[in-house]
Amino acid sequence: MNRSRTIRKAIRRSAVLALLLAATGIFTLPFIWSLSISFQPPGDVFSWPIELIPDEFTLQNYRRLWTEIPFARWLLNSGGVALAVTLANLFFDALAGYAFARLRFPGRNLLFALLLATLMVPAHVTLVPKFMLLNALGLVNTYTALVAPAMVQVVGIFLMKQFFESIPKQLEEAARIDGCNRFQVFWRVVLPASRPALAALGIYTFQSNWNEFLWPLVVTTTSDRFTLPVGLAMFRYEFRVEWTMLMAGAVLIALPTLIIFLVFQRLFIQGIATSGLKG
Amino acid sequence: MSEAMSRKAGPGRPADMPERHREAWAAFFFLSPGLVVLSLFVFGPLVFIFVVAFFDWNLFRPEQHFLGVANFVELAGDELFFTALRNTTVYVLGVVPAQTLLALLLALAVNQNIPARGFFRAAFYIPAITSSVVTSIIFLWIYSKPGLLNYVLSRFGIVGPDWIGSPKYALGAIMALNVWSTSGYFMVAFLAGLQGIPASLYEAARIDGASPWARFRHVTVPGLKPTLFFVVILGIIGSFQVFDQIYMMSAGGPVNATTTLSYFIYNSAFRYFRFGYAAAAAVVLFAVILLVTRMQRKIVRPEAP
Amino acid sequence: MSRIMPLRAIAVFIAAFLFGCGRPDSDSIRLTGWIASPIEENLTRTFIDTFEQRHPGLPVRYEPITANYMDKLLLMLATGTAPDVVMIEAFWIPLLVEYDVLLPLDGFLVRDPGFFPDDFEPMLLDAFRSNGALYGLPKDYSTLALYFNPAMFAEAGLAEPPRTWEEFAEYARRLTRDTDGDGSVDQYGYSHAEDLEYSLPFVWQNRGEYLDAQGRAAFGEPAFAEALGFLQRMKTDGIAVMPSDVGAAWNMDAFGRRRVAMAISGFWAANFLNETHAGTPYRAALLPAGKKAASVAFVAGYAVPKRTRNPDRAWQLLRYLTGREGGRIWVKSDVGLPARRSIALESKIERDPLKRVFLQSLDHARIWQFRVNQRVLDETQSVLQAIFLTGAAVQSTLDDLKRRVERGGQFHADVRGHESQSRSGPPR
Repeated sequence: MNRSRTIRKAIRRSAVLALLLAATGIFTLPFIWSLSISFQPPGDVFSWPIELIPDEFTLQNYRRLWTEIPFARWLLNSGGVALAVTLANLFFDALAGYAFARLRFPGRNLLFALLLATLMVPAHVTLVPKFMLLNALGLVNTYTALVAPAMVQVVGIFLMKQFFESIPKQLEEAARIDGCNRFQVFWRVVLPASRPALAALGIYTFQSNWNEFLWPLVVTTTSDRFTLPVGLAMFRYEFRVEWTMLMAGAVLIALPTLIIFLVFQRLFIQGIATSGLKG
Repeated sequence: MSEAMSRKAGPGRPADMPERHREAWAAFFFLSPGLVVLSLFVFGPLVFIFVVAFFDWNLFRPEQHFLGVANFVELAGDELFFTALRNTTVYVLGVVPAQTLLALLLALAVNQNIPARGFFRAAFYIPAITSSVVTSIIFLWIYSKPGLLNYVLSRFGIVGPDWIGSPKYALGAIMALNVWSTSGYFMVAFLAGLQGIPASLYEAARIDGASPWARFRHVTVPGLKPTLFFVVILGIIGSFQVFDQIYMMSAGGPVNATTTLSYFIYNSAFRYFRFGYAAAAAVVLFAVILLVTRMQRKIVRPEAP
Repeated sequence: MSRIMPLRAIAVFIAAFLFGCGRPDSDSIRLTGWIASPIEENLTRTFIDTFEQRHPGLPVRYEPITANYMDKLLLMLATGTAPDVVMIEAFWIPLLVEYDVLLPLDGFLVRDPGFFPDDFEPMLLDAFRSNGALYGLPKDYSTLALYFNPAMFAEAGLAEPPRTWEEFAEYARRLTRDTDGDGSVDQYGYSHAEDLEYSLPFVWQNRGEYLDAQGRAAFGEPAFAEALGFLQRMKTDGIAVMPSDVGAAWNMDAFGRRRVAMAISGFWAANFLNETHAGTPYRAALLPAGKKAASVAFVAGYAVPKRTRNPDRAWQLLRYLTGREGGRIWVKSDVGLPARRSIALESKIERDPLKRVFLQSLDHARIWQFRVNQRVLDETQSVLQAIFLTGAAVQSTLDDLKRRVERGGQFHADVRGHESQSRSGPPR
């Protein structure tokens, strides 16, 4: 009886593994193929049979990316904006999260519920008024327009609040007894103890801002302000577009988030996991 | 934030505010930067959209005219708007169940006692963290007439069309792309949910003689209800926002087959410069989401077992 | 993160992004344009260098927009952030004049006799006139002609390009072949394109119109439908394709990949073919004629946005870009034919076999310009997609379009209560 159970279990395990491997193929092959195309010489990427390993291996697509289009500038824009937004979020989201976690004030629950409710609002609903505001301030096509609206995220506030609530209160109470005001407690005691959550939030924010497309598309007009996704999207519509160069660009855009993900995988996923799964 | 000198409470101080007031003031300072930014860029616009929708507001014209509900009346007679509504409905009804189911299946599979779970988890998750521009470019090639999909199909003797260039298949192709790219994200959510179900419940059920299927039905499913609620709601909100792929791959076509509500709003505002009209469509989008999430609440109640 | 960065450093970094970098110096003249080819871009930069040498104290900032040019330019014009001199196609002049975002140039011309505006080809200069004033100056132009592959023609036993619609269809039939003997057709006679401008020559040749003299919809008329029907039949007969059918990005890409023997395009396509599909032989011919000959002319030029802060400086740059000297330099970029007759004579374009075709087409060409808003154009394009991609019935689809975009005889207004004055000038 037990033998057959074990055998059935083993069969089930292998079946699951086989399925998973097949699924892995479907999920990763597109990336692998784009990598392959990025190393092919321009010309026909369309000849059949389609080969995974390129016959001719060349780096010219990557080189042309840097020389023929302002890829470097777009990279700088993406990096700078994402970094500024991440740092701002780390600070402001933690501040607000701490208030919701530890401070009592009238209307706290209502305000928090209101904040959470805004998560249900799709980006396109507020797109036009946001643009009109920035336009009225004369800030269209500026870095301010790219950074300011993203400096505080409700998801971040939520994440930090959840985490702060899980810190034992004794640390803070001890600091208060020692005479620290609330900000000092926050800055000197709570924040240093929150490094995992801050790291998770930082990574999550950086990655999502790096990939941001709609808002930079709408708010930037000249090429020197484009972020990487917008720049590459514009490039796709040029009539002399080369697939091989497009793929090379795609690979380069995906590379930073991929590396960050692989290195900090656990933190990454922890960020998602704590951002509200328990209800 | 001032680095105030530490103060000691006690007699001799001028009339102190009660502790609760000080706490509320502290909260104010902690919250104000965040609230200022959120008011400017989230709350404010959310309110303002309801104002703009009632005006004739063209970015090129200096005056704005109050129109009453004329924008909404025009929307009601706009065939393209209804096409957008229809396409969005098809999209949401197709993508949300598919990605939820796929995410659940993947999570169940990965949760089994198999080697290299981290590897599988990463593999499925990577599309979710990759820029939509990147995945659009890759799938533009895959879906093209001489692309990878048709090549694979040709091995089975099937001649595929240019998928994005066919009015019949373009929306479905983009739907498939989105299921592919977001399932991993929700798989992680389900994984966490699965791991939150106490093993003791499974033990108890097994001792009671429950079959694997019964264990699934009576332990797993109820335990996943909160996660399911979360996944479905986020999935719905996300699918109403689909835009990047449409902009990158099909420009709303061909023959408006991939024009969704979000794309309609974008075009009305930034291609036709009719901000008031776009705002009216945005108000409709908002109303639809409220309706749908309310309905969803009734169907999948979020309370844990 | 092992240490939390000092607060001040973070604040400075963020502030730098929020308030620092990014404000253009208001002294430079800002210029924008699209980039039709790397050669043109390099020429532009050389241009700017020589201009700055000639006019010390007038620095120029070149801010090209690589793609989706009009989307971005329109946004800049609407938000008052457009550069001082903008490259623009004549197509947009009526709409922009109606939006009142361009500066009339007549005043500058009057005070600048050394500019010789009479030197411009009259039709091209008129394309930039609206409501009696001049709002831009032409740089170069191109008409539409028929590109054909002489090697494929020779293989099919054809010596000359087609001259009539009947010949066009007949040749396309003979050029649709299975060249590698595997049983399936891999070469087609003709690749069409879904944009209106590629069907328009056929419409005009059939004595049809897109808009009538009052600017109202004329595409519901039988002449228009007939022209489209002719093209649609070629597709359903399998002798013509759309670019996506053969995995090409646009019709000249299909031609360059040697999937089709004929395709219609402008002079700009030659650069594309030379660069991207250097092995494909090509020649150009006048478009095959229907009831009469007709072609479409695209004119590119420069204009000055009304909200420029330096109108006089903008004029200095503009007159240099479109002056005689400028014309001589632009001719070298080979993206279009020169708008100035003196330059055309000087550079002897009638001797160049390719350019000669486009020059000759000008005789029976009309400017690509309609006073109609973008939504109507987009709807028209959807209808053309329906006709060419799904084989929708031509007349009923056009009637449907007419119904959808018309409100009381005028076009779908972009400003309610201020119906778009869609009364364009008489079609030329």
